[in-house]
Amino acid sequence: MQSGEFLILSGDFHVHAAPGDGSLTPAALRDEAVRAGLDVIAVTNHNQFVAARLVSSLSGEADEPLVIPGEEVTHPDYHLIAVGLEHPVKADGAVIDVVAKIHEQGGVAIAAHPMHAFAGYDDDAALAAVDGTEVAHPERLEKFRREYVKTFERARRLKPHIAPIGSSDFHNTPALGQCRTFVFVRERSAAGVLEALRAGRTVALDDHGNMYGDPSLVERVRAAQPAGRTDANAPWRRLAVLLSWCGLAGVLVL
Amino acid sequence: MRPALVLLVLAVSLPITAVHNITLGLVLRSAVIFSAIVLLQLGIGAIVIATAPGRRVSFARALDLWFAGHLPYNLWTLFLPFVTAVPFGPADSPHELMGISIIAPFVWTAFVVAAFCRVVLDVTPGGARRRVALHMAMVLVAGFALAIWAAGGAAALSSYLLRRVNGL
Repeated sequence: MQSGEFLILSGDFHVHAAPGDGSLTPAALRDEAVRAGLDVIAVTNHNQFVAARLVSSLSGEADEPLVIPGEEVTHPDYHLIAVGLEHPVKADGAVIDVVAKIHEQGGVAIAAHPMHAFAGYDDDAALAAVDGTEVAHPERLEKFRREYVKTFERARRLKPHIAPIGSSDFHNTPALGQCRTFVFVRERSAAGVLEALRAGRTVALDDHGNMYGDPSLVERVRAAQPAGRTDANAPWRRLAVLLSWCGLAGVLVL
Repeated sequence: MRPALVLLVLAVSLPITAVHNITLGLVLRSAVIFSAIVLLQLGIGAIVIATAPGRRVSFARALDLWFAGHLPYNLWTLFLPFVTAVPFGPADSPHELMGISIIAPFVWTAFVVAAFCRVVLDVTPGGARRRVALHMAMVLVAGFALAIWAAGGAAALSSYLLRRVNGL
């Protein structure tokens, strides 16, 4: 939706895909992104790029959600989302070194679920190096949720334009887009999204309806009233699921 | 025929678990990806069957019957959509239940494999026990290898799990 000079896109930049630790292929994720009311998703598997490579085989229809290849750089001391990669990044070294490698490729680095126990983000320089931090995440433990918010607040003090990010960390449960990021882009393209993330023009939305970000941008999102999940054929979908499941159970019994 | 049924169960049940939706596209894409699981089971079955040259049935027939023993895992896979559809307990997170509940088909399958070895492969009870141990070892090794690969490495997986446990 248009908001002044910007287009507001709804994104989920932390999505796991198959093959890997996600259940759905990038193509299937794109279809589900439509149902989740998302305009853009990033495929970010742990330390591997197999599923992300499949993104390039997807057709680029103008009205379909954008799918951006990425990686969740997974190190014992930190998890770091890299969006907009061309090739994988190795999880060796400190956060600041890995962020530099991501930036070399033109990618964007986001601190993933930065809980207090991730020592990699204790260093202010490391936190200030990332482009965004995941402040909204469907974490079930309140303790960790509070830590994500605290990290974001600390990051904002270090780098005022750091992007607040909301993501689902979707693996294999129905949560795609449950937490999301509204991105204020100049053009509807992967490059446009990455530019907006770098500039911090985002608002994060959690699964309780809380928004995080620059108050003026939050206000613009509220005014635009972006569509959420759009499940127009819910009764038919439920019927198809029920019939498929019963059919399968019947075949097994016979 | 039976391997195809196993693939169908995976290709239908896992998308339903993940997004509570089913379309032909979802089934076909899932079938391509999860055929790796069926191939893995084929490989494990072939190894177990090859250790019993005195069996009464052909290799192909034994392999087909091997997949009849996949019933416990098939039923567990059919159970998964309920795990994500119904909130279990205050934690409301299905992953723990998925992880814990897989013990049931794992143990049940041990008995199924033992019966398969006795009846189809025609081996002694001691031979059946050895093959059950071989089968369980291969499943565990393959399962952990897949989990570690998907989680980004052993160090990353163990440190993350440790933090989660400490946070509880």
